[in-house]
Amino acid sequence: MTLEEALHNNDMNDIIDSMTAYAYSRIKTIGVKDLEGKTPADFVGEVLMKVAEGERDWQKAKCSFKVFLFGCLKSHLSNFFKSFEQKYDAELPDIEIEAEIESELKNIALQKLKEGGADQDEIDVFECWIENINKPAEIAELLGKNVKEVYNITKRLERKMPKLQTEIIKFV
Amino acid sequence: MSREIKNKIDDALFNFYLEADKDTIKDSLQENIQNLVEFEKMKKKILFLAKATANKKHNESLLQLVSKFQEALLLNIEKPIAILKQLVQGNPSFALYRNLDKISKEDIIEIIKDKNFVELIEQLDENEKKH
Repeated sequence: MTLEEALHNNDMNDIIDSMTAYAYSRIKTIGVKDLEGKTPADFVGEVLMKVAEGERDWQKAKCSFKVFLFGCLKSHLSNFFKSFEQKYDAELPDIEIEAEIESELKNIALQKLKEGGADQDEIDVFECWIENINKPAEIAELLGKNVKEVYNITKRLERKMPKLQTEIIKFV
Repeated sequence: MSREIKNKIDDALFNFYLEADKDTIKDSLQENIQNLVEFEKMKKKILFLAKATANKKHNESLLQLVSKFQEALLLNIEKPIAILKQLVQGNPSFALYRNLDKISKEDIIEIIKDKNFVELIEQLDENEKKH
């Protein structure tokens, strides 16, 4: 599919909605307040222009157009917030954490979530993430829930992530 | 938080927004965006600009390629002619274009219009650098 076809054929309105929602989430998770006058939707616009101009080459992609655009957006946001993330990452240990300590950190994360009011569903979903089961459909199957339930649990869990980040960083 | 846990959270939220249904996304936008009417306008603008830019870029690349192929045919440059021959031979509906000596600008457009322009331009540029 050519780029022109992709831009016309896909339900681009819905894709832009999803990308914008993701941009809001990512910015919140990073915890940055100063967007230099931009809104999260501006980042989505910038990504689409990069794709339209060929700076990001859709023709070489081996995935769906939506996955391609999401990947471009993730990378675009990471580049924009590099300085901020570097500052944040500098607070993380430089050395590779031993498995034992990593496991302990996971326990601390789970404990902090519980203390923060997370219910059992949220804990279960977070445990899936930690075990690298991170697609809603897979999580739903594993937990015996429907995907819509997993979406709702994820939304609740997402709201607890910025606080979890600031709390758990004290332990590394 | 260790990088590993941070990355896992990032990956999970990436997949969530990639897969979430319309209603979930709509709820999320309503939570975050104060003026949804303005957002709808902005969306239309983003899409319009992207489509216009892609079309412009597409036409520019098409004309650039046609001109390169025409020049190659005129000067009998081996590699671009070989690329063109390969495209013609790879598609039975291009049988009429087998005689490249008589090929027109419109014919070249017909042959290359559905191809990956970026790749074609790269192939031709690579050939030019060698000479």
